[in-house]
Amino acid sequence: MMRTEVGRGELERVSESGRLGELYRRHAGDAARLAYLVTGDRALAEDIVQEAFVRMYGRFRDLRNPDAFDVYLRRTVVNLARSHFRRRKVERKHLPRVEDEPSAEPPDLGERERLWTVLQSLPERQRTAIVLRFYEDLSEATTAEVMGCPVGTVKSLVSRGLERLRAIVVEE
Amino acid sequence: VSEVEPDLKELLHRRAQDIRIPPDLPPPTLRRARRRRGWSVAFVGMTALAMITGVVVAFQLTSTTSRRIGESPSPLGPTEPTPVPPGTDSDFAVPSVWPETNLDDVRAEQAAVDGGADSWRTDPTETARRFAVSVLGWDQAVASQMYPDGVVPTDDGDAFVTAGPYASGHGLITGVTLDLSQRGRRGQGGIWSVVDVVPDVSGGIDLSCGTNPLVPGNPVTLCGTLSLPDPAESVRYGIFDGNRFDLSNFDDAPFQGTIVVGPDDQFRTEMAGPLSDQASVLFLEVIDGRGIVLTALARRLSPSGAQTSPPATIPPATTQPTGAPTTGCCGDGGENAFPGLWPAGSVDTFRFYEDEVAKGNRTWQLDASQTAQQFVSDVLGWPASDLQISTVFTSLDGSEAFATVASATVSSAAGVDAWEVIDLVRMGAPTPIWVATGARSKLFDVM
Repeated sequence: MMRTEVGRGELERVSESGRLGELYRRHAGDAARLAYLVTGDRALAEDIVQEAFVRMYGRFRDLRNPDAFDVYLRRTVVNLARSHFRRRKVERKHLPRVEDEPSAEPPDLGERERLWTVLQSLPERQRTAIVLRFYEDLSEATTAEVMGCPVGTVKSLVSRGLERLRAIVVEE
Repeated sequence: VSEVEPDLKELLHRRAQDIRIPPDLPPPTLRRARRRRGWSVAFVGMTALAMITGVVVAFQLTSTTSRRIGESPSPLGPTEPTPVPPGTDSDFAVPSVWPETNLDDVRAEQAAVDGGADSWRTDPTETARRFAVSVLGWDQAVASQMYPDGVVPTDDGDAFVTAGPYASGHGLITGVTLDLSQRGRRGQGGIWSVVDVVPDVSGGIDLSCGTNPLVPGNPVTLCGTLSLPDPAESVRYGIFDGNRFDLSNFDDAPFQGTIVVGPDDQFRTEMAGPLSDQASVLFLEVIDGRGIVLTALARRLSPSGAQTSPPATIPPATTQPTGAPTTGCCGDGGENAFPGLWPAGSVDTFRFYEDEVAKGNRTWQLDASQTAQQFVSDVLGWPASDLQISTVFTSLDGSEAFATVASATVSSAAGVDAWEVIDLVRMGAPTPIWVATGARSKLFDVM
């Protein structure tokens, strides 16, 4: 989780490229884990993290609170993941339909693996809200801030997502 | 739910350990970051220059437009701010399209904001920016008030905000103009909601191709023509029902899909089944070949009862010799009830023009956009050769429209668009003609 603190003074001591490298070393792992949990795709998560740092470069001076770099990075990761899903949705609509292949997942998944599968099948916003709430341990207000939506929407997204996960558990 | 949470947390923490990334910043990433920053600096510089120039030109245009409009009858003149009670447009099924789509949620959110949550909701520009991020997927969205001095116009209780993606690295994208309104409480501390979405002044979506496109109970035909600076590949649409939905989730819409845009920039689809009486919002996104949303349109739909009325008609001249309009033609039948202001401000004048059109003259009055162009040319004095019609929205029954007209000369010379919204009504029989009923001046900088 993104918990490492980087002070303003520390940010100002090194060059901008040096800053990026240092911030990458401190935060990239956390960002990658968040991106992976939101997307369920390791390669994509790595790409998102690289892109997030590309976008953060040169904007350090614009940050109203440089100490909150992790907050900005988290928001950027979530937004990039969201953009990816939107693009993918459009691309899928234009691709010729192919027959669904049999699932590669073994039939005897454990409960937690089933939970992971169901989590990945949730709508992207529900999954993001759940990851931010239960992995990042963010408050509803902070989750709303990261996702750029009202608190009420976060409550609704989490509630719906958990409802679906619970349904799977109950089925078993 | 509680029995799921411990497993969920454990699962997330365990799964998070599955991913490993290089410990140090890869050199290609740093190179990309530097290139991107170069573009950003250039973009910011150009934007700042355009905004500074824009303020100067906008003030000049404001004074010019106000003086000219002030000479017209009062409905065209600048209106004084008036307190408006909280509520919604009774003509529409939903009070706003984002984030809330019903008054209960608006009130709850207003209470939450009053309690210290979501402070951004009291800022129309930030609300617009977040709409662009959350709904349109522009993760680097920029937004700016259309009024250069940042003052929220209060004549109609609305704020207009332009929003676009952060252009660096993406190329130019059209953008949107958002109409926001305070639905919970007007004034300081009131939350802003997105009420309507239209393409910005540099492009348009003309949905007037259908003869009767969105009438509840009838088969749905959705078609139109794009006029955008960027090449579009497809149009994604959703027609949402009721007053609880999420615009960013097209799966919420009973009618939804994607239409491939033809080489002539036209799109068309006919959907199976009739349009529901509960249909409340039409939402379109125009998408390019990269999957990026170029622009969007959200139109709130009137309740079904209001969508089937025929175009307003005007009685034959033989029954109305003195110019006093009758009910059905011109409102309540009062002395000054004729709704038109230009070119006809009275029934007599209207009949004159109606006859002229019937003779084959002034045929531009058969077309809403041409009438709007003629208005800004004749009344505001904008050079006719430099006008751009960016948007024409026609009501579902075809009897009303509003058109946005921009002056291309001002736009290209100073980075500022002069934009006029013309309200029009279509009246008369057997061949209805368009008459302007009002106009609003909008000045803003273009990102």
